[in-house]
Amino acid sequence: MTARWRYLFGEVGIGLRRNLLMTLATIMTVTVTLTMVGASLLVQRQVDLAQRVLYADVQVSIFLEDSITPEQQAALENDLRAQAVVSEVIYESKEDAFANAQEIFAAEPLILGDLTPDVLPASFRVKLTDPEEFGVIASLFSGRPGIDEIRDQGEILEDFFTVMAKIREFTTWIAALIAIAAISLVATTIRLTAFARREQTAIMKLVGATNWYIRLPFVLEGITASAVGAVLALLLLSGAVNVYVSGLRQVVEFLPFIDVGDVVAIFPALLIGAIVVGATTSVVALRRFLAV
Amino acid sequence: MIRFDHVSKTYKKTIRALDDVSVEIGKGEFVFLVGSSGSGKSTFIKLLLKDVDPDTGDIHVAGKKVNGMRPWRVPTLRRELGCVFQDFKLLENKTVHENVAFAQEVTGQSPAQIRVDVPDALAVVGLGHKADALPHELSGGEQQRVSIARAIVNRPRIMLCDEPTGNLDPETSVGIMKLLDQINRAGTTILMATHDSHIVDSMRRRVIELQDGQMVRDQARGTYGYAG
Repeated sequence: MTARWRYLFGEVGIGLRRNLLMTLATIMTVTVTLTMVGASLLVQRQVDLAQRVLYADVQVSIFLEDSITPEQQAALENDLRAQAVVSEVIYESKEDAFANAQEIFAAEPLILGDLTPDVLPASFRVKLTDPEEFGVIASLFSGRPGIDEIRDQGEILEDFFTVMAKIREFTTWIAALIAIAAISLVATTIRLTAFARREQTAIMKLVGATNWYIRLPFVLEGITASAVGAVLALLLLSGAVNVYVSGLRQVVEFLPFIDVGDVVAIFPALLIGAIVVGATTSVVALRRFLAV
Repeated sequence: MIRFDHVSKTYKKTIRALDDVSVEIGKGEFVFLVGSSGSGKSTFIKLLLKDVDPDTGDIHVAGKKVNGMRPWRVPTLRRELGCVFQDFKLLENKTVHENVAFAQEVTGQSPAQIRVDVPDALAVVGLGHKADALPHELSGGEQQRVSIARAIVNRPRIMLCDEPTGNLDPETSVGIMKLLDQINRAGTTILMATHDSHIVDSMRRRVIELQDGQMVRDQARGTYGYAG
């Protein structure tokens, strides 16, 4: 190790130790900030994941009146298949519906007790190439003779996605607020170190050290605090995903959930972001101290 | 080596620190800068280090124009200048060897170079045997010798000394002056700001006197006060 590097790492260690409490506070706020940012990213991943899986199964149900004639029914099926947004059309007869109901409510004989195929409506199950295109089908076909009701099954999911969007918004705002605190603390810690070392800095300038050489230990200090915060945030997020998501997974069976792999996937972005912000903050905080 | 062309410097728009000073100091000269407190001596030295910039006029140091120099070139300028101050400016938590080596480490010298240069510099100032001592274990005169070793370790062409004997008793001061004289005879240009009339009178070197920011005297082989 050259004298230069030995000097550098020595200084970083001294700086971090000297303001131990400040350093701890800094690392903690960085951790909370990154945890919030990470949570926001994870919610987005959860939404994407759920949307991909759930919308793949989403159908439009067109319930038919009992009075529909075979001609009307055949014309309707043809027209549905002719739509560009329709990928698949399946006819579900009263008997099919009855069989499905028996399956779904197998555990609840009370519901099944009075059920006969007669009570249930026949329907077309329509799969769309894009679930968002429900409106096209609704406006084209509603009011047609023989159709009782057109229902978008995707509607059920809307609430879920609205809640997710709210959570995401919330974590993003909290992250933004705490980020301000974190940046101020990083700047203050760096300034304290710079103040404690002002004599040394003055001598360095005098003997002709370059500004970057003087600055580097401070910048590394900012980067170290940020990186440690990022690693702690990784641990916190992994723990949270383990505890809460596995609980959710048991309660809500029909949904796929994110796992620790997703936390690891967002970590590089968190780490790099933290390091860039930490380094920039340190450089800006030092400007006053290092005017040539 | 050092050239001032009509240099003026005003602080806060009203305090005139230097007023139209023009002077040239040649290679290998030993020059005393005298004058009462507030006469502009410190500003003179700060201008050389580009610690402050002149309002008007040009300053050349070691062939480089200092005013208007780009900030990233300033470290190169300072490596040509060894500095010694009244308060030594040593790092208390570093040994004598480390203090001198510091000037080389931060300018990117190789460890091999440092291992050769630092003992050389300490030998020149006569402190080779105290390399491992801490500054507070040394006398004032010894501390000043350490700071001189640090100033010369990078072999600057010019040494700037701001009251180097200001905190030392007369006997110790004589030792320091002998050392500076020896360094000067080896080819280093020395500019020394001082209040010490004894030293100036006994050395009989060139004297530049400042008064209220103006150069009122430039005398070869001069004395502290007017001696005709």
